[in-house]
Amino acid sequence: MLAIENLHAQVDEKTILKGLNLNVKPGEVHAIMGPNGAGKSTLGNVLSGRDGYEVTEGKVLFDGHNLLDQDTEVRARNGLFLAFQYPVEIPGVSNLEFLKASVDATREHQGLEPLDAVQFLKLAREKCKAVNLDQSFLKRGVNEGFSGGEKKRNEIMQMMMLEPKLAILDETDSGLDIDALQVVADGVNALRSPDRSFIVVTHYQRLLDFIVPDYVHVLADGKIVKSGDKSLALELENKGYGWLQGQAS
Amino acid sequence: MSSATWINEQIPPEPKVDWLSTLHREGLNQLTDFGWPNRKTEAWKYSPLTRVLKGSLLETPNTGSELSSFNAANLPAVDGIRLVFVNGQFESGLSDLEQLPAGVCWVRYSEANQEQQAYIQAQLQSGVVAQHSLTALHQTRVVDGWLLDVDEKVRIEKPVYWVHWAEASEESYSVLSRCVRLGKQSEMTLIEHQLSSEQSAAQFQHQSVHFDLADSARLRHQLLQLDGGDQVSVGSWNSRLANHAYLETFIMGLGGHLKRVDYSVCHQGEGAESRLDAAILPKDKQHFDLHTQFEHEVPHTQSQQVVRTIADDQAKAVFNGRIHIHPQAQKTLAELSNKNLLLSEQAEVYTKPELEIYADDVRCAHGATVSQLDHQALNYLRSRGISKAEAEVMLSFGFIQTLIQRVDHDVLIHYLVERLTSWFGADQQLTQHLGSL
Ligand SMILES: Nc1ncnc2c1ncn2[C@@H]1O[C@H](COP(=O)(O)OP(=O)(O)O)[C@@H](O)[C@H]1O
Ligand SMILES: [Mg+2]
Repeated sequence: MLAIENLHAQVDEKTILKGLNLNVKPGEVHAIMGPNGAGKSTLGNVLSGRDGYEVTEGKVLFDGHNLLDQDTEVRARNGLFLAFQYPVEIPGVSNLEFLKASVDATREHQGLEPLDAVQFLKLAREKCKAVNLDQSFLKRGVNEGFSGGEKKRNEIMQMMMLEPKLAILDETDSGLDIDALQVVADGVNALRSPDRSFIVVTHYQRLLDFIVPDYVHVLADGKIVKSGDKSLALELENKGYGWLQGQAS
Repeated sequence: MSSATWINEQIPPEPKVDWLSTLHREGLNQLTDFGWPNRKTEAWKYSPLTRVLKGSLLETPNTGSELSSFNAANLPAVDGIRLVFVNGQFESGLSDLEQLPAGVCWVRYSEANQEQQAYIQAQLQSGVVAQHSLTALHQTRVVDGWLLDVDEKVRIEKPVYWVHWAEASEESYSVLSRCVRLGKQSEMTLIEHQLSSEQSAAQFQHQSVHFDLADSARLRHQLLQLDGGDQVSVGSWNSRLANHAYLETFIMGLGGHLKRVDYSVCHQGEGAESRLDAAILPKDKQHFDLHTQFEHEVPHTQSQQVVRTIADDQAKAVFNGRIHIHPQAQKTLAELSNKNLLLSEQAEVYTKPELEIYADDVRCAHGATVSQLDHQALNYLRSRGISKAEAEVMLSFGFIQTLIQRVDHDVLIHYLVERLTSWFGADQQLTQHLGSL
């Protein structure tokens, strides 16, 4: 599904990713943990193709194709989804028109018939309900005035609409109470399937009680410094990241 | 020809009523004092009138309506009382005079009764706040005009829909003056819709409107300047608000060679309140200049202005927003927000909020920004599969969409969204998701 090899990337001429390797197979859930500033969000941004994030070395294959030479929107249409750590507020663009444009573009790319307005609305309402957002959110500006938790749930709602092949969730659990966490986890678990993969970036082991990962990695100073199964998450929760510093180089 | 010579050679036309001669003389004196605007003239600093002076625009008064391709069927289906002007001349044949309800009078200055004439004269003489060369010039050229007189407590259910159609085979100049008097507790919506034939030669439409809102009167004014091509439009809108009067204005500016709107609102009665939203979108080499002047003369009045501009190509947008809070006007609440979006490297925006505050117990907020499209927002949309080109259109449209929604008239919103859609591009792929709010 995703093969990252020796990835180096910089932002503002500052090197953030320093030789990162990661292999995600279809159906797998990988958790990435690590100290603040390690480069977790940078990894998500690089994979999603954000402007300003420059890859200086290494390669990334997504579904067997070179990911790095695709535009952001093409990556998305090919099934890569990033749930942002800090979703952007876009007043004036309604959630509904945004979602419609997004779903239309994706379906067209995948050779599917466009949904008509009725089908689309039905789907959107259904997904809203699934993440516990009131339908009135559809008419509001994208993330405009949403609380932190509402923004995160809106990300999950978009993921459910787009049904990506690979979803990267960047600290989607941060700032959520236990009920909201359950909603997010349910959204992810409902989408889990043998041909869909997830990369879950988190600070807290508790999310991994709800979304059980196949692998846990520690990202520190731009590299994966340790990988293990879900028991690693517990170990990290108890010991912190300090004991890993030595293994970074 | 120098501007002084030009001004000296001005001979006001024969007015239809005598008292207009007084106005003409005063106008000429003022015009001589002001001189023709040049780069140093504050009120016209960024809006050169060379095009206006150079051609025959000013020299050829429009002598009446030519047969035009005006077709009411092409107007938005506003269920309103339509009053049509062609090249500045009122056309009763194209208008719905019979729909004017009881208590509402639509009459020429020259045919108004004595009381009305005295009223109009007083309005025209005292009403203009922001005086400059072009308001003076206008004053020298008014030969007649129209009064909309609304009695106390009359609530006009349907909007009054002024349609201004510009079309002539030759360049010409037309002058139009109107007064709207709203009696106590009366209420109406006034839509002003400027549009032009695509084939028309440049027309210079020079206009003035005086709104007078008595106690607790309410006016919603929608000024849609959508005439395109080579049209020049210069006008001033002057409002006076008595106790608890309410004025809500929406301005949209699209197209045309040069457009200038002077919009002044005088809050003269306690509890008077106004709100203005403006969406200005010049592109190509178009030029739009909006000057607002909000006077707060007594205690406890409120105003709010939201002006947004999107300038593309080599267009220029000018916004000058003045708020003047008089010494006795305690407890005034005045807000002004101006945001400008530049879509091209060559587009230019000049924005200047001007505050003059002489009272100490007031709340006054203002801000102006000039920016490009937000990169983070652009990235967000693209990361969901939306193409860069479509994302740019959606964001630009989003920048003014909230203002459009204030129109509160579905037919009109639909019409404006359609006009905006074509403004943003002929490519239907890029505009298909706009406005499905
Ligand atoms: N747009 C940016 N401009 C400059 N520096 C950045 C930018 N994004 C991230 N960084 C820097 O990159 C490093 C890694 O950040 P990030 O990927 O957000 O870490 P994490 O998500 O692991 O907390 C930090 O030092 C951060 O300051
Ligand atoms: Mg982060």
